[in-house]
Amino acid sequence: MPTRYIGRDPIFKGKALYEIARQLRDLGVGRIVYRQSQATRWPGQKTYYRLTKVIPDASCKEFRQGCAWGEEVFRGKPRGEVEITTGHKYDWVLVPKSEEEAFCMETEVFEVEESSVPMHIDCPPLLKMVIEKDLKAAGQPVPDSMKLPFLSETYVKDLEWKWKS
Amino acid sequence: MASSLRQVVMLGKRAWKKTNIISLGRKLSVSSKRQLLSESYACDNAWRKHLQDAHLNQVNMSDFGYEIRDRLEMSGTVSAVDMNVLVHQLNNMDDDEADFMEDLLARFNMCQSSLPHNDSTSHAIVRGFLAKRQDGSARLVRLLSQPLQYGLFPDHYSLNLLLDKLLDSGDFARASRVAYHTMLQEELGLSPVHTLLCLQAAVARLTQGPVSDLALPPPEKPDEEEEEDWIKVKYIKFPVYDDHFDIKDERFLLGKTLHMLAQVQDLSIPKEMATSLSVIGFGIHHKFSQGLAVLEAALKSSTGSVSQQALNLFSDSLENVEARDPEEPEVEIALRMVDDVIHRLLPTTKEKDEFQRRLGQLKEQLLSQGKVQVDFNLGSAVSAFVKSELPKYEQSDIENQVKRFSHWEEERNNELVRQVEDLKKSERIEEIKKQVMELQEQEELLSYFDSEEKIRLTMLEEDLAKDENLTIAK
Repeated sequence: MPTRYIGRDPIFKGKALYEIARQLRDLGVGRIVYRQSQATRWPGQKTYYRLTKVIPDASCKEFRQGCAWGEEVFRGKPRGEVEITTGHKYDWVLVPKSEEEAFCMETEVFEVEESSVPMHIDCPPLLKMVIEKDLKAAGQPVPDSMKLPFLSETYVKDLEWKWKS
Repeated sequence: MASSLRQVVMLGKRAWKKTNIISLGRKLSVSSKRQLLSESYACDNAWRKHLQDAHLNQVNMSDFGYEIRDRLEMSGTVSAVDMNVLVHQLNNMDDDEADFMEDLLARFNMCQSSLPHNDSTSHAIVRGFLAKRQDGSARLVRLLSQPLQYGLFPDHYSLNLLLDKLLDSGDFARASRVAYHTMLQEELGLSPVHTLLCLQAAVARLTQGPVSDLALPPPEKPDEEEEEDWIKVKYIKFPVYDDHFDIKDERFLLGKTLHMLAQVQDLSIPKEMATSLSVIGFGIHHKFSQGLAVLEAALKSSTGSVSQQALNLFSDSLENVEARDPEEPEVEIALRMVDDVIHRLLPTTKEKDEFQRRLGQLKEQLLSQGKVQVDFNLGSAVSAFVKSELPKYEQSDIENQVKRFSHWEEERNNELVRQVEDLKKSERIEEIKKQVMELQEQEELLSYFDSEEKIRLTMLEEDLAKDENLTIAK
């Protein structure tokens, strides 16, 4: 009897990273894997990981849980060793050893606009006046310029999220 | 083979002993003469010595097996060393215990302690199953073909022992399965002895019978009037065919093994053999454009040549491949199966015609340049090549293996000592915790009147926790 699945259309077209890893001898360490969705989204710019450490969750029956680390090349630019948090998605494809060299060579690099943010900002004028007054009253020398450390909104939000969870 | 007593008497006793004793069993013919690896390759003496280790002989296999199963059911995990010790006792296994052992291996594969895979354990499993009188190697091949369930990844030396037994007994179907296992790990060029044995197994399977026998039966096409079975899921899973781990068709496995063997660098495979292997491999695997590229390369190079056998097999595969209609609509995602995905990979009618035209052209050009060898037989050439090359690489493998036995023994002893120490430490911690509890109780008793209020409050809290409607009056 033909089976018809009723549900939402799939986004991902691949396998879970740990399913691939558990079928290889060294759990895939040293092999190159990439995500199908990233390859179709940026066709000219290669995004892939060269696995350095894979620890699958052996008790998972669907073979999709675990931790992995790999050297990332994101849109052509190497980013160093990162933790792979998306290993559970059915999106991964293994590159055969014979095609690794060709796969890594043909890539155009996407230059990310690096936007920098200052580490320190000037002290607000009213606060500066208050601090100067306090220092004079205590008899301590007043510095010429005062700087405060700059904490961006996203940094504060990240910290709050980490402390809550 | 002497088939009557009279012949035996005529031959004489000595001559009768010298003839190969072929068993009368129906299944396999066992030759007493070794054909491939030498006797000393199995390192039987070193293995027997390794098995005499004190730690391994303290346990009885069945009892320990049941103990491990109970431990798995209670806590869900068992240590890798315990499994290692159990597996070294597999020599004493009976036939009905083999199923029980397989179940234990499957369960152990779901324990975190089984990772990373231990070479010593898998080596002992291979040896244990090979020592069984019947169907040990068949079971092993079945375990190897299901890596997700059993997690068995033996090193190349252990696989060589298995391949040797299968090839000597003529079981090329199972020997080729071992070669496919190594091909899927993409390790075909790593160890020379193993690569040679895989080459022998793959080519023996190829020459055993027509290639079309290896194909899967065509999938049943469902009746259009038949009712569909509706299953509700959150997300429909895309059927994935990665042309590597998902290959179920033995032709493709064999073809991929053959053309990957042709690309092995370290073995100095003769060029005509390599070209034949590539052409046949690509043909059977239905990668016709790559096969034609190999033929073109042979045409362009001055020393290139192709065998008639390879060309015949390639053209047969090309003629018999089912071409698909390019305008055929794709099956809707809700009903799509893996077979539909594989069907989309077939060449279209146009592509097939183009391939056939190019093949015809290349054949003519190769013939005109005299680059087609009519008398090259892949089967016999490979057997001769393997038999001549094997003795060169055996000795280093034997020496390495003997060293590894002592290394494994040392590792196991260290691990056992560490486990015993951990156990003692945890027992000591439990003891100390008990003592601390007792001391606390004693202290409470001795200093009751000093901290009466506090103790009463804790008693009140405990009572409140049990019974919410408690009031102070009670």
